Amino acid sequence: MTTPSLGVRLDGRRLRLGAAARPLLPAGAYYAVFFAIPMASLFVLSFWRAKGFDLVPDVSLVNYEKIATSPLYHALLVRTVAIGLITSLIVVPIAFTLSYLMRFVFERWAQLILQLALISLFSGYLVRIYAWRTILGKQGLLNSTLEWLGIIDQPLEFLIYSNFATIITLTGLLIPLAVLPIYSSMANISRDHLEVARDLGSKRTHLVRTILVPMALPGIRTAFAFSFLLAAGDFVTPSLVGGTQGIMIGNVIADQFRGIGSNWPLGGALAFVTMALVLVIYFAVIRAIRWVTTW
Amino acid sequence: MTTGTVEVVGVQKRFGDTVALEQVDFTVAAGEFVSLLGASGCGKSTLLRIVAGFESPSSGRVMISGRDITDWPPHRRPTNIVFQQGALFPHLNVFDNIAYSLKLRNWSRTRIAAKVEEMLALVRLDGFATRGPTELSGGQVQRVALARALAAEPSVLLLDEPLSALDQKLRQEMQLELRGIQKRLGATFVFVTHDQTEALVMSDRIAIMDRGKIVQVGTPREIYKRPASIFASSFIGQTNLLPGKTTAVAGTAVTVAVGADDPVEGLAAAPLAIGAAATLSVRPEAVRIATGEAAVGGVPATLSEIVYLGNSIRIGAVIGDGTLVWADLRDEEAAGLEIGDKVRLTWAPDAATVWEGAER
Repeated sequence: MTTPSLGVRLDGRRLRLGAAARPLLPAGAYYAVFFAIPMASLFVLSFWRAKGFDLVPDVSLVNYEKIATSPLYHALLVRTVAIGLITSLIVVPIAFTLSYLMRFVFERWAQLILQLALISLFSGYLVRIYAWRTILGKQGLLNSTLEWLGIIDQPLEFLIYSNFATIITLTGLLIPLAVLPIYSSMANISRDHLEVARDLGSKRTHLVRTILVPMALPGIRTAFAFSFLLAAGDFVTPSLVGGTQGIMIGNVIADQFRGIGSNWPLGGALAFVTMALVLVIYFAVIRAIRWVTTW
Repeated sequence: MTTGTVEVVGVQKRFGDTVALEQVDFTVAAGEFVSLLGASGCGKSTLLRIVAGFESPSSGRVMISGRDITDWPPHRRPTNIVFQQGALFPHLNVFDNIAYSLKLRNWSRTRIAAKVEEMLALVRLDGFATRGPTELSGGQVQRVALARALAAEPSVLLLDEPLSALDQKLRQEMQLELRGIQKRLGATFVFVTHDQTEALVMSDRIAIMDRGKIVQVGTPREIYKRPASIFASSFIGQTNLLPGKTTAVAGTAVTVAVGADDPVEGLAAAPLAIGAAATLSVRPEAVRIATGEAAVGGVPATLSEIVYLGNSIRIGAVIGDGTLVWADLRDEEAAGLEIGDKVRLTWAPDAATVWEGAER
């Protein structure tokens, strides 16, 4: 993995910008203002202390200690990562299969399906969560259909206000987002590639591992990043469909920044711990995919 | 039955209502280089894809090395294919592309390395093993694709217009090189092309295809000298087609009235009746031009075009019925000719082939 370099280097006492890096200046400035500076200030803040309603500047690890020693935060972090992983491990294979079908089986419908995926992204995020509530609810579409069919005689309780509901809802929200990068990276795979691989002795199952996945890897990586990071970082979905036991670390972090009992330094520390954990897992999964597909 | 033979027996292929192949029978001997030659849409690629296993025939059988493989999937067939665009796997370097089939066979690392080395030497790309596909030129891509297909040790190698994407000069080099590789390996090659020169240069035998059928099979010389149909004569090389009527028949020697009822002689491709509509085919290089009052025989014509081609001069002359006839002359033969000259066109009787009927 290469990190994009801005080409900034210290040359004597003057900071000089390589000519090749100049086109990156606007993007660099944007990131500095809207990403690097807020992140840096939050990072600094995470070493401060909250005293009543006041923030006390400090260089203290007290917030990190609190997180390290609290079983509650551990459980929340584990659940958050688990929900993120499970969701993305459902989303990415489904998006991969859909992309394959759009690319090689229903080519004529691919553009239409892409448009639909985009339209679903336009319809707001909250609207789509509420839509899932009407499907999964106690008197929702799924339960009433199953009752009407006589398959069940009591509504299935686990469908709503549960981890199950959170995962299903996030899956539904994230599939369109995951299809876009995977489909676009599959545009580089031609039918000739698949035929040559089969011709050289590859069975269809082998084809997925040795050709399709490695060739679509940039898209798969992006799709995994989207679905894992967004699922693990979400706090709206769990608060709307996750029920009382279903809160994720995002909910706790959000609570540290608003209302009574807020604690900005603790919130900052929690955010950084979560971010570090999620990044470690993200890179581990990407490594695992690479390892499985190189042979 | 020896390894490397191909037998295609009564193969038909329909896609919905359209017939891509109409009853094709065709055999390739072991170690032979056979070209399937035809215009686009004639069914040549479909036939190759049926042999490779990417399409299944609507009826008929395909046998390789004496075994009926009609129902075998591509990955089990003893064939390998090279496509027009090479289709190298972009995520693998040259080595891993060539090693693809060998890894699937669970060969040992050292055995794979030795085989890849051998293949790279064969296609003259020693030292390219660690290059990525994007670091190769068009010709190198096709060499790697060839090496990858040959590494799998196919009984029959199938080539679907592998040189068509290359520029003229490189294509000519690669034609001879490919031919050399085939002879050195003694392998069976079935080569699809729409380029008649390519087919003539490379093949032991050529099968000319037209509208889903094989219309003639023969050595390049046979096909060039004795095309079996009006189509074959116009497809291979260039030829003049002169419409006329037979006026005398003596065995295969026929006299045809062409132009303004001018009698000329030729050889009948098939028995002909007197008074039948006929088409006479004669190659430009066989046509001679006689000038002056003393000239007799042949077909009277008026010169209408003089085209300088460098190594020859191409003369166009209009005969009595308005047909334009081309003649290729050497520089000195064409000296003094001018547009508008009244001349006579002649050729040796055995240089002209006569078919019944008119050109379609």
